[in-house]
Amino acid sequence: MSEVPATHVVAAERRSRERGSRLADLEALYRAEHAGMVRLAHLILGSNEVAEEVVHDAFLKLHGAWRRVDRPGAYLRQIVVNECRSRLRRLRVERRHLPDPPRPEWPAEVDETWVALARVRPRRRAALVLRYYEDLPLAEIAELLGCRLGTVKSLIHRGLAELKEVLGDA
Amino acid sequence: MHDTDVERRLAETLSTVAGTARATDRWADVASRRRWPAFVRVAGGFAVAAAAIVVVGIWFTGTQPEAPELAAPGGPVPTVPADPVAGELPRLILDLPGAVLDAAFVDEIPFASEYAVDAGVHRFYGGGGQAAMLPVLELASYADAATAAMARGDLPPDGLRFEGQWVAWSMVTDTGGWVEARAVGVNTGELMTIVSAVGPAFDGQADEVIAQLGMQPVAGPAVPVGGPTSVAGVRYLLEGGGRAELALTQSPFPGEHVVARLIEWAEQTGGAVDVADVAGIPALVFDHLERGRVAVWEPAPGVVAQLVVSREPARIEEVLAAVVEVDQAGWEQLTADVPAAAETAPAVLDPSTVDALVGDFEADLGGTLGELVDRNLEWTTESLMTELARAGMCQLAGNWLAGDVATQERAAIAAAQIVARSDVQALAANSDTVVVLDRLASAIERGDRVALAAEFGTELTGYGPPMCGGR
Repeated sequence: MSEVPATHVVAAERRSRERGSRLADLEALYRAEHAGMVRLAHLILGSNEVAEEVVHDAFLKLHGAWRRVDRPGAYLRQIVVNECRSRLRRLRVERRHLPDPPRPEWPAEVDETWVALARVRPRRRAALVLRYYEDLPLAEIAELLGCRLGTVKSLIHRGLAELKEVLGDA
Repeated sequence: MHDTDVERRLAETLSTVAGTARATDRWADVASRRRWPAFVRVAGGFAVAAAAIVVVGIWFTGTQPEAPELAAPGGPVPTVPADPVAGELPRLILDLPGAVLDAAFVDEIPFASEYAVDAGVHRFYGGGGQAAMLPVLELASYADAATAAMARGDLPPDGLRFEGQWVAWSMVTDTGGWVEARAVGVNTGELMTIVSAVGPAFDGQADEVIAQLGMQPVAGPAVPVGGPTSVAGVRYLLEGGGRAELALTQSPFPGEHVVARLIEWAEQTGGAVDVADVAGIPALVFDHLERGRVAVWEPAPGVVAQLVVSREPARIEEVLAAVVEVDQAGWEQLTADVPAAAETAPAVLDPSTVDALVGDFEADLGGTLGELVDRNLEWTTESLMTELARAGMCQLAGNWLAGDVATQERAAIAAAQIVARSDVQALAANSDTVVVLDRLASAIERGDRVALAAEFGTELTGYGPPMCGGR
């Protein structure tokens, strides 16, 4: 049997170490960000089980793109928000045909607002959550949603107006 | 209510809900028992898939270890391990050179899709429901890929024709069944083909389309979704010397029929059939693995692998039991039930359903246009078409989810047709799309369905029976 060149062994060991390091980094990110991402997704989607799936998918995508990503945390958030918006469109249709899932017992004001939020359009809802829960600057929200700063302002303004209208009707 | 009150309530609500988010997790009890963090399981999923590639590679080179006997109909059924995760990792076959993978399977499992494409999977067989859901999820990529394929000359410039109709997306046959042929790409834009057939004469129709497309028998494993489509597709594969894995999903035909037919064809052709059950809800395979919902047993001679996946653990047993029951009940009796199942589908949707469809579609369309406006008209012709079609697709998907089987099938047809309509394409080709958008938005604001119909041709008002099966 021919002997494997030493350089190949070294290269293989280096690749193995790099892979191990990537996995460790990703796991650390998972531990640090998973719960927060699920909460964010839950607020945008209104469904914890779908939020879990979205975040799970997002980590998978991040895993695939790990080498190319400079800021994994930001990239992860971007994937989660994008995926949430995509899922939300579908969820809204599904929910018109399905009974409301049971909710925990919240104060009446919280419950009313949460129900009202569910009626806000997907993109506006995402903007509201990123602003009023994540407390992100408008510029960062614009980056996450892939739009201009002015559009973000408009989304938030219209989202609040929509919310106000629904709450006013309640 | 003052604006600041709304902001305060919103912030408090988000904070409160976020605090309870984890507590409402239906999987909380499962999560609490997890032995490893989820990422480890993710990595494990990849490792399993990678191991599967190796296993399959070995199999293809004819050096695979001796496997137990195939469970012949009426013979012993492979035992589902009590804990399939424990001990040796199950063999998960997603990646087979030249394989045929179920469209829904590929679409709903991101990494499976990547593996499938990397492995050169190039043909997909899927049932009506799955075919309908595909564009809901990936409409843009499919449409783009189909367009690119035509530009490359891989497709006839005027699309694929069958019975005089452009069938790059779908068509409805005169017999009340329907056949669907798609030339699409996933991720890579590679030309792919999906053949679906539903209806009393599905076998012959699928064969015609296959002939029309000039498809060749695929010698390789397949993972079609259960239902008549898969039956036709798998038979075709088996006759081509291929092997099949069978995934059972909701179908107008009882899964037993599918299993029985495939077993019969496998016996006739010397092929082999594996049985799998995939619940309709998207889920990641390694989720199933971790939660003990996947059972895979050793390949039998001539069989690549056998896989059972279900959200409900009990379903694994049911699927296995169904194979036995089919054999015990006898082929004649089972085939006799097939026409009865097909006849349960009404010819057209009832008027109230059609109204609901149209109404919801309009609502979605309005929302979509609103979002487009929110983006300061930062859209392209293609995105406009995609968004509009997607809105329709989503609505139909909702209907698909809520309706009975017959409604689902027809919603699926309408969903496929909505993107195939030349009117939509004409809209996309219109250089002055701003004007079109304005007119559409204005019509929606006025609730003017007549004007909407004028803009969309028959997309809205012709949305019901004429597009849903009854020609």
